Amino acid sequence: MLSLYIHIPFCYRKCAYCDFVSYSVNDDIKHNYVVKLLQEIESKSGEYSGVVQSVYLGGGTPTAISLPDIMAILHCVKANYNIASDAEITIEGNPFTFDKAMLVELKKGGFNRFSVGVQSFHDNELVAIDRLHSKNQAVEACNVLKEIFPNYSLDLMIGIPLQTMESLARSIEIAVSLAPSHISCYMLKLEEGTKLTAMVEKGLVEVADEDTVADMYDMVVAKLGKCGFNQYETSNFARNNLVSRHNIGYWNLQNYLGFGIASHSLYGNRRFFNGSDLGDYIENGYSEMLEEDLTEKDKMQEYIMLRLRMNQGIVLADFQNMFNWDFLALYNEPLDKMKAYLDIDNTHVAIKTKYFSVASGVMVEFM
Amino acid sequence: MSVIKEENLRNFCIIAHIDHGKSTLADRLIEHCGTLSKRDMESQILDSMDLERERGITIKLTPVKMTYEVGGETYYLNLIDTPGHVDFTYEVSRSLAACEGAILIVDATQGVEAQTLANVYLALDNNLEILPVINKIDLPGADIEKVKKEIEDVIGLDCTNIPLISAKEGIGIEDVLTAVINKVPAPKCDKAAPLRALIFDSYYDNYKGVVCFTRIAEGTVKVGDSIKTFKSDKTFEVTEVGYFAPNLLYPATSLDAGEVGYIAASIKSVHDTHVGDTITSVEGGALEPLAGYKKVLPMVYSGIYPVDGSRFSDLKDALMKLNLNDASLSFQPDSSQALGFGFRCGFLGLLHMEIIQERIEREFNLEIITTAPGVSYNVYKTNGTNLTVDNPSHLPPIGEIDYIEEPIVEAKIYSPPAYLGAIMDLCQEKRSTYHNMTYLDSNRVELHYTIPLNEIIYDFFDALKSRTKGYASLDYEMNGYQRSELVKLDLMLNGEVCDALSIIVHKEKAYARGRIVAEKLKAVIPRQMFEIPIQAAIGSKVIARETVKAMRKDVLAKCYGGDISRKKKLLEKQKEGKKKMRQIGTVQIPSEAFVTILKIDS
Repeated sequence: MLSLYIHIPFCYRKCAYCDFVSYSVNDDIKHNYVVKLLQEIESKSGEYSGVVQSVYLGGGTPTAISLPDIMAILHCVKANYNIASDAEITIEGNPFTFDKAMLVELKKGGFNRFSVGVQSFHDNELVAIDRLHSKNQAVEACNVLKEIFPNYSLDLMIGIPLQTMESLARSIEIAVSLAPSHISCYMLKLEEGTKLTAMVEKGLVEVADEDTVADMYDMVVAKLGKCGFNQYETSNFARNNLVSRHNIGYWNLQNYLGFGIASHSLYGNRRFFNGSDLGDYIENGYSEMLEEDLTEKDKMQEYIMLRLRMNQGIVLADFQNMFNWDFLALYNEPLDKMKAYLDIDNTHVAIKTKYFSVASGVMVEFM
Repeated sequence: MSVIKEENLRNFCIIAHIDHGKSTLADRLIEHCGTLSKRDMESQILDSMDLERERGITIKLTPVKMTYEVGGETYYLNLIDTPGHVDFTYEVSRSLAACEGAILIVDATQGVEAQTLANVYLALDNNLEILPVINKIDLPGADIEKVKKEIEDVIGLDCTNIPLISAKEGIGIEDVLTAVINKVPAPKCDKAAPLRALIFDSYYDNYKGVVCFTRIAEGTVKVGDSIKTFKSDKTFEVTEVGYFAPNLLYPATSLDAGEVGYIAASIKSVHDTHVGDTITSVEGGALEPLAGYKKVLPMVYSGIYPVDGSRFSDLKDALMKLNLNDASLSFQPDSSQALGFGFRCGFLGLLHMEIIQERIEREFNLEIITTAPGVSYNVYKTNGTNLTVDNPSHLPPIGEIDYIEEPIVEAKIYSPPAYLGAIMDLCQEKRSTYHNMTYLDSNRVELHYTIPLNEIIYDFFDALKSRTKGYASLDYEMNGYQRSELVKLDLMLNGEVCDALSIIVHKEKAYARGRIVAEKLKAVIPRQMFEIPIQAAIGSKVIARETVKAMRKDVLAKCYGGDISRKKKLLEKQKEGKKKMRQIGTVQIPSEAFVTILKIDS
């Protein structure tokens, strides 16, 4: 099994909290990038095998490149890889970077899932984090998505400047009313080198403290649960089991290939990544670097770390199949030490949902 | 080096109050004598420890040999640099015993200070010729006439022809050298007498073994001689003798009476030489040792523990090696429930403690935890017995104590009169007894206080400096014990006493201190998966309480393909961090917690 991730590193403007690799450049450069991307997709196809379960066009803002370029990428992928007939094919975009006509074309071309970055349904909060769209534009975008891509996901953030418990609750209500199949709700992380981090450090902007953010998170989980969204991972919620199969692939340590600058890949025991210099990529094509060769122990630890983020937790039979070890016996000690925080039965070990917000304190015992 | 004419030899040191420019003058003298060119000089050559350069202070005495030619004669000058801080008086007294003269530096902007006087008295005790010089004459605040008068009135030294210098600018350096040659007497040199060499310092070299810094009082020593010390019955064969150049040893064929130099004799055990001991020949040796140094008693005690418990023996090794050239450090094995195995160490003062701590960490690459500094108490029990306690956790239960005595010091504080109020206020806070005040001149007073040592060791010196804009200076000496209302303050984490955090304090200060320590601990103990009560208690009575709330939140950020290794590394880091934490019952506390409570301003 294989997943493909294609990175489109372009945005009209970088958001204040974002530390992803992204550039604001003209259309020619974008097109030149896509040309190299197609070459990378083609040249790697001979090296790796597997039936592709999911394709994800992410960014940046993938809808910031032209529709013909997007379609060229998708056709290139289809022509060079063995894509399963029921593969999940997602494209990301931000409100106002797409319209109904574009969505219709994307769907016709083969995309069957859309992920829209909304972050908040309040104009003051959107301005505070440098989002380019307004609340109304977000609502409008979602209304169109609902019609064309019923399987669409909506991103929100917890803990952004100016956000209050009430405003967040309101954002959740609006999100739910727009009928997405999936909601991701991430806590703001102040990444090094971002504009927001600098502003917080200088005292120009305040963000909510640990306890408030934890309260917000608890509220979100409760509220989404009541509205029929099942929390299947710490920060991800799905209706009707319409989970993100692409992300679940990551969390199961399945093979994935990344294309484009700054993308990461895992194939067998090798984890590697592309350089993040746009000019270099356009000039010379992709340059691949080894991140690490994973040992069996590395893989086990990563698997535990990733699966404990999911409310299904570790499926004991899967662990046995993957690593040929009895999880309960192997981790007898940390399991005992952390038992208050875990649900343990004959088939699964999972962190109790109410302790998701202290998950790393549990995970570290298994490292 | 060629044969030395005895009458052309000068052994001298430089004494001064801290910051008056001792190390800078030493550098200039070395530079002027051509031992080193200016280009090759790092500033403050004699301060060879990184620590000394960073802090701008001299900790260890350091000898260096220079040559100076004047009037067709070549003179050999042995300069022994000395520390200036009150904590290191012991080091100073050792240096003085190896010299015939002392340059006394007085800052042209500051005048005579407590430390200046203390060092002058030490030098007089050792019968040294004292050569005053006035330094920093280039500074705008310099008042040469006033300082001259102070030197004459307060110290009683003649200031006619006193060298007026700026060590920093290299002004007047020749005058200093001329004064050394003309006024410091050449050593008395009885080469024919049996060898008697005073060990004034030593250090351990991995190749040479123990290297002894000596002043040859009488006789001669050369390579191949069989030697012994008075305190050890072992004999050694001399493998190397020589002189000191800045930062290196300069081998010679022999050392003669009157000279200052080093002796190496493949001495492998640090126990076989003691600073203050006398070296003599095995055959035809001297019958009596030279007068050594009086043993110094530690004034401040604290526990030192390795962060990594398995490195206890490395810590022991480090302390033994440091002890070799710092006899004022004392230590004995100790153990703590919280910190495992370590040592209870005695120091001359707080600065000395900090220096030792940093030297262990830097020179031996050991991470250590130091507990709050304390002093040694006399505890009288209700059953009529008594004991000495320098570790709070060894204090008997309250019910068994009749009374406790604490060490006190006689302190002299020198200051411009403008800061009298500030100083008296500080002394009052520190439970001091005021005795009297003397005007040394219209602009300088001497205050005389009795202060509990316990109050001095924390932050007295810093507080004094900051409240007087740096103008006041302090000198003190131990003066026995006095009865006092003292209690043991315990800190409990999640209901368990952490022995390493216990301190002995005056009853009236216990509440305030308990509150501050609890607050500080709250700030340094990271939130854990459960709530942690922090309580300060005297006996079973809780006097302050804080709570570290349970951790609520990990950042639940995205975790895509590119984030996985990063996330794993974060967890690994978290795990490493946990390893460095100390476990007190169920609570994990970082090593910094123990340091934090040292840094409490009362």
